Amino acid sequence: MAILEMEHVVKRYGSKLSVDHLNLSVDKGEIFGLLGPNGAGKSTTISMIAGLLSIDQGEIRLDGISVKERPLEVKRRIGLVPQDLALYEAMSAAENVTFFARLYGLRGKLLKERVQESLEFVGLQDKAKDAPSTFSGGMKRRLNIACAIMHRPDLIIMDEPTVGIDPQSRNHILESVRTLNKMGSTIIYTSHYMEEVAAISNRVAIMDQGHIIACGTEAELRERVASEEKIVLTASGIGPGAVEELRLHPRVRAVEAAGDTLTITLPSAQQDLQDILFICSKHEIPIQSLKVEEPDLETLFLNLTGRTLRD
Amino acid sequence: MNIWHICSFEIRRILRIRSVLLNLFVLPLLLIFILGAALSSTMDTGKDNVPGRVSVGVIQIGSSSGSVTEALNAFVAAPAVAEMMKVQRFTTEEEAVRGLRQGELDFAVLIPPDLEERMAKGEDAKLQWILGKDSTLNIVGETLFTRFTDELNRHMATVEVLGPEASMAMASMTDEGSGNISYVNVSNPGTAGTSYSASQYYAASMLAMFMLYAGMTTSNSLFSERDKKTLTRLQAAPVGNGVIFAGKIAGNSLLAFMQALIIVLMTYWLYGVNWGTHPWLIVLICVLITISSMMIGVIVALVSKNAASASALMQGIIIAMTFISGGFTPIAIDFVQRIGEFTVNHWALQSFLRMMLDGSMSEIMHNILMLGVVSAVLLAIAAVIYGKVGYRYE
Repeated sequence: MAILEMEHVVKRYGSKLSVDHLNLSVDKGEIFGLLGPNGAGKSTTISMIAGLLSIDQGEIRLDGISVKERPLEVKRRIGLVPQDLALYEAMSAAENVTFFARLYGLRGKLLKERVQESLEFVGLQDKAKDAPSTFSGGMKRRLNIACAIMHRPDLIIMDEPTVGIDPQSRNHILESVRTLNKMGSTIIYTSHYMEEVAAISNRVAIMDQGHIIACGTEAELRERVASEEKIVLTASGIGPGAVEELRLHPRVRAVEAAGDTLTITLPSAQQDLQDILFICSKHEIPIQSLKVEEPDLETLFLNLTGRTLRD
Repeated sequence: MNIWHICSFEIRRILRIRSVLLNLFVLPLLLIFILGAALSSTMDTGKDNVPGRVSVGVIQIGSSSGSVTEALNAFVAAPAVAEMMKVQRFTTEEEAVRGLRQGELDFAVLIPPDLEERMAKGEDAKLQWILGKDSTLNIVGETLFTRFTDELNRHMATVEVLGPEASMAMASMTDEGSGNISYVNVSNPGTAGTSYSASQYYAASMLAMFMLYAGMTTSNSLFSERDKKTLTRLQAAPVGNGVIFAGKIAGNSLLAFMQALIIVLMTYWLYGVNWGTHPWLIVLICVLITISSMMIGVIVALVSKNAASASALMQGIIIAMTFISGGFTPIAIDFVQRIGEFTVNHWALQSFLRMMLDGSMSEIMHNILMLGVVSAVLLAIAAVIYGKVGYRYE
């Protein structure tokens, strides 16, 4: 059952079309990944869902409630973790969470409980009285999350929540996302880190130039590029003769030599691996390592757009 | 309710910033003290302008009879004059000068021996002043005796034109009504005096100026929410944009009002500044300055591209308005004063000064009304700009 529905949503900035007739549906209880390079329209889409930006055309509904018609009611049910840290540096962590919690109507004992619960959830209970100005980047990111979940929203939107933090904090945040989802919240998670989105999402949509260019489970998306695999081998002294012979193989689609690394693209690595190793041995190439790369979302994006996600 | 949460949070947030605290509360008190103390000598104080009785030495060389002597006796005996000066007679100039040097006299006047003769020839009656140490008391003496010589000249002119009979008729009229004659008209300048001290002046002008700086804090705060991205989170909360904006303005307004209250009370207790006898009118003036200050801050924040340009613009506006209105030093240039009438500071300063001088209620209210008009105009401009531009994430 869909918690969020977007129909023919359009957003323009002057003459530039930022979101172009976007149709999207997010099911209740899922972690929905939104992938796309910078400027794809992810943040604009999120801002429209959260009621921060007006919708030029189309309709967005949360649990059947129109964002256009009843924006405050929709906002009450959403928790937004913005891409940029949105914290008051001079106020303590607890004061930050308390202030935003009050705006969501929490009062008295419930307010105190929820503030404490949120800080515990992100592992900052011991830092409740400290100002964010004394926090590390990862701790600030976690507090940024705490400020968005204390009212137990039905839908949590996380816009690039792991930008610029250490691996430990990143893991903590990803684990938090899974826990929040288990607790009943639907999550929209945007990132341009493909592996992050793939690791936690039930479904993924790939956005580019204001469009959804692909949408489905990770397996479904991989399926679309399953006709291609890569053999990456490392060896010294890769000569032009070997590269040329590899290119002449009937099923090899591409060969790229960069220094000591040779990347061979072909339909099935399993089927042709023996042939490849035979050619390398014939040209006396001392192979140091070899791996077979299965198609990933990055490959899919590259196939669909001709660009990488980080472009 | 949410307005109050945003308002109280805004106050607590700003009060955590030391530089703001320093600018809002410490700096104005320090400046009032420095300017008040340093420039007190260039401004007359209220006390100086309520002089006591002037000791005047009248030097009359030669004959002590005649019409001039009679007129002089009548003049110094008039109740209003006697109330303002104590006369000692001298026959030589040296005695009077000695009295001035020893501080027994404040001012001396020499009546030339040929005065009556010159007047008979139709010349103007002129006396010679010998000035004492106190300039204010000298002015009092000069004013009183100028009034006396004017009266003598008028008398002589009457004789010349209408003849001695007219003069005698006037003299008899004067004799009959001598008890009621007053050579000096004493108006009621008010209990607080006709002038203010440097401390009073700068307390009023600095209060107005620093309350305008509260507008700069507002402008900075509005930009800070955008720059620090907290506006994103605020607008993602179930709160209307107007509520967020109103809450922030309310917080800053309360802070500005708190600032005014502290400056008024502290200058009263620490520097003895007399703010007049109408505390509720002071409150009203502060409310109007607060509105003006907030609206200037809002206008600047909504039309500026970034925080730095907003700060620079606010600084320029505040300094220019304070200068033109004579807030740093009174400016006696007509066109500058006319331009000054378009500033918040001018009407705020005038409102405070009229109260300090215990001016009439109509005079005070006129200035407050004009301040209200300026505030209303700024409010209208801010409302129009807010309606067009808004305070949004978008």
